[in-house]
Amino acid sequence: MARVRLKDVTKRAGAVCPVFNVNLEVADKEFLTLLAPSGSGKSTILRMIAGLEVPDEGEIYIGDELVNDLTPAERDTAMVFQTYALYPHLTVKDNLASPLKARKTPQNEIDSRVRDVADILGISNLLQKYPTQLSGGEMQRVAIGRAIIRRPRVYLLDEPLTNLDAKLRVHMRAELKRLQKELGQTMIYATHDELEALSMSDKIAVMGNGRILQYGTSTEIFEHPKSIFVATFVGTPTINLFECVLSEKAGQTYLESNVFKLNVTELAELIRDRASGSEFILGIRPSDLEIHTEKPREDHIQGEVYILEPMGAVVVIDVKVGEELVKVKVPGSVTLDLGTKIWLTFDRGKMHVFSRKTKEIVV
Amino acid sequence: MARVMVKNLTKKFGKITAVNRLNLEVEDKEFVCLLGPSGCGKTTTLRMIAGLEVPDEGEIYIGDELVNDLTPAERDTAMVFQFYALYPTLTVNDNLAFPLRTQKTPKDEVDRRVREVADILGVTKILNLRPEQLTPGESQRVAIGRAIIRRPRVYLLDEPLTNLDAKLRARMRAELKRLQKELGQTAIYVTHDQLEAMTMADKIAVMNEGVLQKYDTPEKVYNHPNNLFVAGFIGSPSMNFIEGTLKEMDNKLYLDSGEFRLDMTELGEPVLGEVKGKEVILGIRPEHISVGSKPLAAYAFQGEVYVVEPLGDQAILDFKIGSSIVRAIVPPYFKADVGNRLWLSFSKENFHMINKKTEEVIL
Repeated sequence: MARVRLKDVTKRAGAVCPVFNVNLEVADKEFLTLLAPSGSGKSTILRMIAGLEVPDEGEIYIGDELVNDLTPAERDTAMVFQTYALYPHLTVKDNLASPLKARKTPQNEIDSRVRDVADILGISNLLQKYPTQLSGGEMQRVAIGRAIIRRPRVYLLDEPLTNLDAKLRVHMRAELKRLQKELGQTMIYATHDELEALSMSDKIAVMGNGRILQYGTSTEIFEHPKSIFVATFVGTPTINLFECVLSEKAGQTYLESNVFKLNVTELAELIRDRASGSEFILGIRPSDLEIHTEKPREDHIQGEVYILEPMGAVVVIDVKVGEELVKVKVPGSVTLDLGTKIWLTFDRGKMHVFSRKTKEIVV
Repeated sequence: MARVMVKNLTKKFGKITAVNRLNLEVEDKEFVCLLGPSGCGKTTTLRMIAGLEVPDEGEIYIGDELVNDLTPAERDTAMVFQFYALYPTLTVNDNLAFPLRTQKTPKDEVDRRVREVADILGVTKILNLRPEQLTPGESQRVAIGRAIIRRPRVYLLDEPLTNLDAKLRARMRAELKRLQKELGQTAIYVTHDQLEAMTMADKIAVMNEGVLQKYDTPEKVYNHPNNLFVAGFIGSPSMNFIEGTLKEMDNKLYLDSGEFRLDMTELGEPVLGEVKGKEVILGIRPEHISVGSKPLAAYAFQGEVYVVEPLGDQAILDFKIGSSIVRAIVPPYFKADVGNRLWLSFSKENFHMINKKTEEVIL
């Protein structure tokens, strides 16, 4: 059990994806997710913490100890990979026991720990099987079991659920989160899957091009994205974006695109304070748009129903607004005919205004 | 343009029956998805319609014509595969033109049709590029363009979106569905992704182990599954299944799960009469469970929060009920902590009763 701290860590190009000036603090017992598209350097960070890569600059602490010069074994971390890497010639039981045997743990303790871990992961009935006899989900559980059997100070997981099918992934997500809380151990988890990050983490660090772009809780990342990159990377369907200009007429301020005009006088001062120029991008999440079949009084966006995507519990309605498609997420019971004229409105508190130049959030 | 009909279609590979007496009728201009896990026979069915596999038994009609003895070319279908299969040495323009050139279409017509298709698919700007210069999304559009340029009688698509990343897949889904409606051509689409089938299809044919399980609209398949397989395969997170026994006591009918007991007297004798051995599975979709500190609907039981999974615009609460997990979807602002004891409520309209032995839906 330990906190983990990275201070100005840089790893320049080489065999791995580079990372630059990474500062990160993971509290003891916390579940932190590094969320990023592939090639952004999240595995590099895990590998540097594990001691499999050497940073060019910066310091890595586990607990209060500077570990830069320690070997992987001395750092006492355990890593789980996307590919399970089980010993094919060993049974599940012996696979689980191998990290303890390597440390010369007494046999009776090994037996009791294997039983414990198998019980936690629901694989007690598989102990005598070999990896080739297991399903994907079972193999991944064994791989996780092998990591947790040793009670290291930190768990490092690199896309452990990526190779599982969608249903199993949803199931394992909850199990892993629960497991981490039960073990009460620090966990650092790398994934490109935003739903995994949102659902499992205490904290999320969103990365792009080797840098940490935003750090916060699931709610903070989803509701208050700091940049267009984060806003579009997190959330399904993707946030709707509209190019707009800020204009003024008769003392009123408007955000205007070629398809709508919204009065934003209340926000005008704030926007001008925080950004120069008049070009902005308005972002609204599909779940924050409301559909009207009659023209509403308030400011609105007008369009027509282009296609319906029923998903059971919800339906995503693709609305053609000018030349763009706007996605709206509504309850599954809503039905509309293709071509129906509709109007969209939204709560001003739910809109995100980005600078078109910097791609950063303004309001 | 044509309807497609298969009658008693059967295909065996050695001892395995890949497709077992399949009957299916696809209307003209309809979009039908063949949905099921790998090995369910969906691709074999598609390949038999295309003429790439010869059925052991049964008949295939395209339009009103029996096509069993026709070559693939004579059947006039166009197939799109999971792997894009573009000619690497040809430009996008020439890849698109290829099917027409092999049919000796006049040059000016080829040019016109290429422009038209490029316009529909938004690939006009990349006509002079080669496949290696394209993104996966662009490659898949070109592959689709090559299929539609020829206006065959039927489009056959084999998991065309599987190799794309999640965001692009979501976008291409809507585009493909709209395209099919605009072209007004019959399409048969194979997928293992229930979300693709739900969002795109006019009708879904759910298959398992070579046998057609249900053939109906997405709405009907989702809301009125006929057996345990269909109920569990469609929807994410999956339908909750709770095993229990029906018991009569003091002129009342109860469902006893071991963890809780529900008075189901209103369902009456007919239900009980259908269940030999009285072993049933209660099926409830996560979005149909209302969660609160007291009962909120006709049926309610208590559970302890096991995991909380925030997902941005909603959250999943996982409850541990006995040895199984029950999931409920709640709004993102719903406050619940691990260990809280809460009521899970649902109404008569929103659950399914399944016979445990036959796995058929009773109610």
